Amino acid sequence: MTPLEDRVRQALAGKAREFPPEAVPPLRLPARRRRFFSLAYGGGERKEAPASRGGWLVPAAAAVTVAAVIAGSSVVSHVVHQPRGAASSFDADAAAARSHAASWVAAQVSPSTGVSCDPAMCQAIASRGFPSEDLDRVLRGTIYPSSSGVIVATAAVRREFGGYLSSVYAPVIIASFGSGPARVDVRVIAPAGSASYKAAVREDLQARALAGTQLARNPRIDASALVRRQLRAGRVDGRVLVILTALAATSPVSVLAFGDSGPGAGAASPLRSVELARSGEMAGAGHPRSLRAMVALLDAQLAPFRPARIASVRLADGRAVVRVEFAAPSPLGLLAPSNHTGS
Amino acid sequence: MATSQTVPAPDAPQHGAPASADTAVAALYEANVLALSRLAFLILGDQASAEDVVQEAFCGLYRRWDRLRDSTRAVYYLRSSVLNGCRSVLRHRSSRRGGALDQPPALSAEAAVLGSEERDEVIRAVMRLPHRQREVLVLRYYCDLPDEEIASAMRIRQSTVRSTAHRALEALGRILREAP
Repeated sequence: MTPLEDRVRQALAGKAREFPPEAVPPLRLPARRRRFFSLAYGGGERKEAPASRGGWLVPAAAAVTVAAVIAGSSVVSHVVHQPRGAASSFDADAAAARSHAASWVAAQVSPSTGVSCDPAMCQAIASRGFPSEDLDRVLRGTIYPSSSGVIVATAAVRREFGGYLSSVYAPVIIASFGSGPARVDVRVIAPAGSASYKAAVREDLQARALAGTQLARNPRIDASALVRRQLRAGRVDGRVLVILTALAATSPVSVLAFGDSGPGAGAASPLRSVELARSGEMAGAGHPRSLRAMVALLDAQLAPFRPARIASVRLADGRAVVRVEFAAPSPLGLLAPSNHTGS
Repeated sequence: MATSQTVPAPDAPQHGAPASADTAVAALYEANVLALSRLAFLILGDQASAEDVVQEAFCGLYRRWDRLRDSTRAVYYLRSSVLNGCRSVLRHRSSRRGGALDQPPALSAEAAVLGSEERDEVIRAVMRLPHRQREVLVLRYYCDLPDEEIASAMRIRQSTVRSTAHRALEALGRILREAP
């Protein structure tokens, strides 16, 4: 062994000891493992040989089934004479949640992100204009939804991945529709696992709060107390912060409101839209022209700073404003120091 | 602890005595988690990502347990899964940084105090190597694997293992000579 090889060996062994045995987390297996139970096989797995000592299960199960049918007949009779309200109400809730989720994904999620969904949901999303080649169908036996950036967690998808979906694969919800078993969540996939993703979310929040605090103090930005509070708290998407900086550098800008963090999204989900107007002298007679200049500047941006939608709208009080909206999900790390240094 | 240095020790359940997936995977975890976590830690440079990759490897094994033809191969499967997971994390990091090379991880304050300068210098140099060269060095000099097993784990030819290791050592020597 050469001296260099010896140095490498010693260095790696020393570095490895920085991962102490007590740092090892407990094993977290999925809550459910797919099995193929069969009463004909004594309750064992179908792949194994029938368990002879488990043969009593067949008659026992048959007896229980017969007893249950007899005992339950009055209940069944009662149920069939009830209005079909409960079941049809559930179906209606589920259909509404699926429809809202499909519309939201088609309108809000960037196609370049890639979306995993069950086949029916994928079809619903595609029918609303989302490119079908950017949809990844979750079929039975799918191991890990790693090729997409977002997963639409319907009941079928939750069944496929079990508790691991929220604990490891996709810990953060960016939009949620419906409730109970009919609920449909839109989740961001954590490609490197939950711990890394949550660490990245924390870092991004800190960077947004730092940049937002500076913007809240910027004399060229006119904003209400609520808007300033949202800026300082890091609630605003990094892309919005960057375009605000660029717009304020050209002329004073009025930030009327931030919005659209997704229905049912947690506080960790940044606000991706903003309503803007020119402030100060620019808000006077030259107003329409200055708004057009604002739109032109926004329209000239390249990804990831190019908004998904830019619209000039007139508020109830007659003011003309520009509404800017970025696609979901909010990218992490845009404001990280490494991105400023260009590394 | 032997398992912390030698990942390949096949601490899988004995063949011919089928255990349930839960108990078998739990036993494998007990025996190999530290060594595999340290393997991922050396390649990735951070503890949180290493933990995630190892957990995911064990979950993958658990899901596929019924399809595992030879349970004594479970450790080899786990090692390959960990390497794949590490590559996936490194790819993701590169794409987030717009294709920039991995930066050497910042040393913790504790490591800076406790670690020797010599060791840190070598580790920084190792982290500057391309991913594949880093993997080969870690498998060869930390896990003490023969080239045949490195080739199997990385799904490359033995001759590629040898040439990659040679290039890695050359690059490492160059980096260390250039270091101030």
